[in-house]
Amino acid sequence: MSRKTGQCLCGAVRVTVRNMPLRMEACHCATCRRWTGGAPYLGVAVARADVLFTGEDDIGIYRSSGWAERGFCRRCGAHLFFRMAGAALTDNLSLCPGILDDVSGIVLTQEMFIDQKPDVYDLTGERPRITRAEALALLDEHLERKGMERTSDHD
Amino acid sequence: MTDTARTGGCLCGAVRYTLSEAPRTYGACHCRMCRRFSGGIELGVEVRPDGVAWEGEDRIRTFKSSEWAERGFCDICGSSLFWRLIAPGPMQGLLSLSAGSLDSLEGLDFDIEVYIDHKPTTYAFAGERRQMTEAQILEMVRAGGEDAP
Repeated sequence: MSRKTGQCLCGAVRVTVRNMPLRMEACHCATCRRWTGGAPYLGVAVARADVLFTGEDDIGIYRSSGWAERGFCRRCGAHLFFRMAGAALTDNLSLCPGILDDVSGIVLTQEMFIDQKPDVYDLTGERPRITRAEALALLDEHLERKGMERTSDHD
Repeated sequence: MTDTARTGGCLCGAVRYTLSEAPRTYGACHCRMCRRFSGGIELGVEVRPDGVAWEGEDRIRTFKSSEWAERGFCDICGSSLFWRLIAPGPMQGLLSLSAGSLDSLEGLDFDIEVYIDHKPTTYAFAGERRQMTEAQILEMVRAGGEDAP
């Protein structure tokens, strides 16, 4: 756990994170690949209470499904976070580590939607790699606790 | 040879495109700017200036990220669309189209990783391919190589 700072490409949005978890996850799903323009998506699950954004007026929010939304800088397009939204809101958000000034010490510990990964790339190393069905089962458990039901199969 | 996707677009569908030629290869860039822009690992397909036809182009917002390049994204959903060379010269307008925006990556050959010395150590792509450091890229640009980025 440590303190990390970061910013978007143009500097309009800045972030300070305290109690930074030193683990990141990768997601290979089609939605994440479309959004990032690359692959895979990378995210660090941080407590929302530990994240302080400045320049929030420049953060664009796109609701990508009934339960989640994605944040980016409206000025430069830098990708900032993925988070649960509306009634599915959680205490965490998934912060894109690319905006951090220093990612040293943050280890890639899990890959998700491994069965949606195109065959044309792979990441080296050993770590849990969960399928779409396994990831959606975890999502369904979360939505059920919130009294919600999944209405589509993308995130 | 496998047919590769010539169409793509952003997450919300406001911006779509068709390439005049089927792409064959793609590459990754690990530089600080690409990492800030992408929200993941930046993958790009090289497209010549007149090689793409856009639909919904009025939703594309651009940001000039250096003296010689700008980046484009959808102003509704934030999806990355391209890096474009804006410096004057024969290659002006050259695009590195964000490969994740293609309707499929299948059949493409992953043939280069650039700014490999800026890649965080915690992840790495499997396999062997050409790799270039920042110094090698800058040397190539100075030499005016025809495949300068």
